Amino acid sequence: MAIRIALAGNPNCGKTTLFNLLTGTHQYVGNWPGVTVEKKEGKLKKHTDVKVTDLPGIYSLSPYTPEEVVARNYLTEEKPEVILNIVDGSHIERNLYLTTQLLELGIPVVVAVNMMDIVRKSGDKIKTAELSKLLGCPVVEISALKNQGTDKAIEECMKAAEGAKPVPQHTFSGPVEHAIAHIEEAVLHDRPEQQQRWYAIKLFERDEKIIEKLGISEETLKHIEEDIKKAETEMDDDAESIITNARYEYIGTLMKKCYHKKNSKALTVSDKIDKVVTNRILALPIFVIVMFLVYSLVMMPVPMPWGDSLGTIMTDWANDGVFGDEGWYLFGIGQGDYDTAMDEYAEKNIWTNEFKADIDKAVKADALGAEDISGAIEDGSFSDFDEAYGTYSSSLEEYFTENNIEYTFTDIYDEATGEDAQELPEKASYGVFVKSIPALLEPAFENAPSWLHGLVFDGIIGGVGAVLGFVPQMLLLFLFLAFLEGCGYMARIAFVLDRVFRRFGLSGKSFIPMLVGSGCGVPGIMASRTIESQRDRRMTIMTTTFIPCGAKMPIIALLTAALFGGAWWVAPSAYFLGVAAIIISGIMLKKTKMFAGDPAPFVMELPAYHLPTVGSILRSMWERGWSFIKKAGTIILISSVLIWLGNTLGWNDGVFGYYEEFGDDGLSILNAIGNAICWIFAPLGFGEATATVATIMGLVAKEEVVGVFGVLDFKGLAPLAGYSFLAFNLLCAPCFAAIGAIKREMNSAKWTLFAVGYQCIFAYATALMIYQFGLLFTGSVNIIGLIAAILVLGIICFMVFRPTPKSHKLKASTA
Amino acid sequence: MFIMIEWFAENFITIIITAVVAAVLALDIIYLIRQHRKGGLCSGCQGCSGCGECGHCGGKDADK
Repeated sequence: MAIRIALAGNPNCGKTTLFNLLTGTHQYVGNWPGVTVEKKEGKLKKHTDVKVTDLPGIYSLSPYTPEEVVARNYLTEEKPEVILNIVDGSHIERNLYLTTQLLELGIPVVVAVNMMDIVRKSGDKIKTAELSKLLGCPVVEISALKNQGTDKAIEECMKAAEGAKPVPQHTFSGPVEHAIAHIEEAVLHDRPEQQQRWYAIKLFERDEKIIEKLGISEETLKHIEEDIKKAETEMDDDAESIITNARYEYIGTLMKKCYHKKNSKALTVSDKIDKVVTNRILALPIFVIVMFLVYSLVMMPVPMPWGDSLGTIMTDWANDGVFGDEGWYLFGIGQGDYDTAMDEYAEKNIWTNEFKADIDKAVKADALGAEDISGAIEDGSFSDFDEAYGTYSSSLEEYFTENNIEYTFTDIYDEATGEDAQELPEKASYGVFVKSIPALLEPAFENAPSWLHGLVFDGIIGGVGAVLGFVPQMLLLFLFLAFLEGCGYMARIAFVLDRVFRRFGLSGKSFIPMLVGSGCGVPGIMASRTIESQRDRRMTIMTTTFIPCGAKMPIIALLTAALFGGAWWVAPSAYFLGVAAIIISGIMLKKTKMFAGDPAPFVMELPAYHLPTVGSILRSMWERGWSFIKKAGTIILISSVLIWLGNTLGWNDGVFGYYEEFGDDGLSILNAIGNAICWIFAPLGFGEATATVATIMGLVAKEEVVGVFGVLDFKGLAPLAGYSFLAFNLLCAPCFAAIGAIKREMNSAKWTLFAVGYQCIFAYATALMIYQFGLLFTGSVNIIGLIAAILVLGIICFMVFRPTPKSHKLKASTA
Repeated sequence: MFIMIEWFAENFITIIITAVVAAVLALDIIYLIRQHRKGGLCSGCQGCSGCGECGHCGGKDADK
């Protein structure tokens, strides 16, 4: 017989953890309430005829939230064979409120008291046998996280599904029972007997959705209203409160008989941590420090005992090893020997007297990079020298050429490291050397035409490799974020930010989409559905993508390393720029007629802190990371090929065709497009073709910004222009997929256009101010640009500081 | 005929590589079109199994 088991329970009681355990799936689990919004289905392991449904977490069967509507509709309309009610043992009193309602549905219920390991650890006691007798249904102890007692729970579910329907053990006071009996008789006699009581109670509570669903006539409504009013007069309360109070009274008696708390006044560990972490004064600085640490550990080269940080080591390995020209030493075996051999070789063959003389001339003339090259030669380190030489040799060449000074250093270097060089140490001769992907493929392309070589190496490997090179860093970031989510800290941030957001007209509810959006903007935008107020929801949708999503990480990492020498402040500043953009936008928009109104109330249960399992963290990290790897193999690959085509097809001397290089009069398609548009970005400091093309391609997927730099010959930007470029790309319109999500959620082309327009204008204004005010410090001020930036700042200040128009002043006080 | 065979022999590897690259690109495009028709999986989305907002983004059937 096919059986359907519905998992129902309060938010964050462990339903999805149990669902994953029972079905062997890997649904997303998070340690904050509201992770599951829609129901999910799976088949019970080893029982293909048993279907398990994971319902969203709900506190009651009243239709206050979309989650409650989803769960209630499923239970009343689909009528599963059995409900497995997951109850958080550490908050059993509050969790049993839903249980009392589930027992009235006429569907067999098995109560699984979860987190029993925590209950036992705290010294509390739950008499499950007694509870089972009082509730009139089986009660089992489980720990979903530790896979304890779950087999017993399923066994009970199987028995319950075949057994008799439950009869609720608790009753309401006389007048209420009288009214319920009347309602059953008047309206529900044609309904299945087991469901009559639940519908009658809902009608007693004047549940509009149930009234509508049952299609009760006005006359009958008037009739039952008399019964309800009579009970209300007698009980001196409104119907809904009468039912709620009666349930809690009943739960109170259950608790007295079945629950023993070891020390009700002592603070739990979570409470103690919360005293610090959610402290009025300390909460925000702690949040800033935590996020600062996360972003800086991932992005910046923090010196470790062995050298660079883990993030930098991994990215260097991916960029220079896997996608580099030659390859890498497995676990570094042989690297030391090769370095020594190269140091000796360079001493003899590269750093000749002539070479050193040229560099000395450049040092004396203070030419860019000469000092770095000279320093590396003095240290006798070829690897440092090679890095400095690779960065600055072309600028040194320019210096010598411009000053008409003869030089030989490039010839010496090329000869000593070229193919014909004698005694040049071969990497493969030392240790365990693994060839890079380009090096592995190179022999197959020996006789291939140049266009095919270019397509594969410059287009596909260059573009896709540039994005994949940052996957290790992304995985590290996702690892940290998964830990913060899993341990329960992120839920606290929603609570802490509610205090801040509320001042600016947003509620902490808006933080949940932003939290989800730090992985990908699309589900982040979708998560805004839980915000009931349409104005708040629209505002959240418009601002969610300001938080850097995973796809923007490579842009931050690339620019941090390439333009800022891995400066510690760049990556965290990108995150806080997003937060600041949300707050400023919140203030500005909330003062307009379109978004005015009180912020939505925000009530969220703070989950207990716990150490997430290694498996759950790794799974979360991998699932997010895998999506980027998949994306690199699909949309990024196609885009990279298109970019390569645009860069190699064009006009040389007026003739259109494929060209490996374009002459002075030549122009590639991409350059033509870039040159036509780049004037728009000139006031922002990056008005050149490659950066313009990268920004536009970022609309396809934000990683493609890095992909473009991988395919095209990027000359680089000055740090100030680079930061302006970063700010614009972080804040401007998101990728097409996210714009599509905005369109679906806004359900209006006009609002979508407004949202995207606002994001682009805000990004432009921010980047303009960064660049133009930054120029003040470099001494090369552009008067028109500066005036424009001052005007923009003035407008923003006016929008932020102007008093809220009286007609739509906020009433809500701060939390 | 002989010239043609000779040309094929000379360019055998190039032809194979070109065919492989073309096949990869074609499969990629077909995959993207199919995903789009299925309900527009988001670019950074790993399907409903990895997402708490399952069913909200139109990718409801993506995992089936």
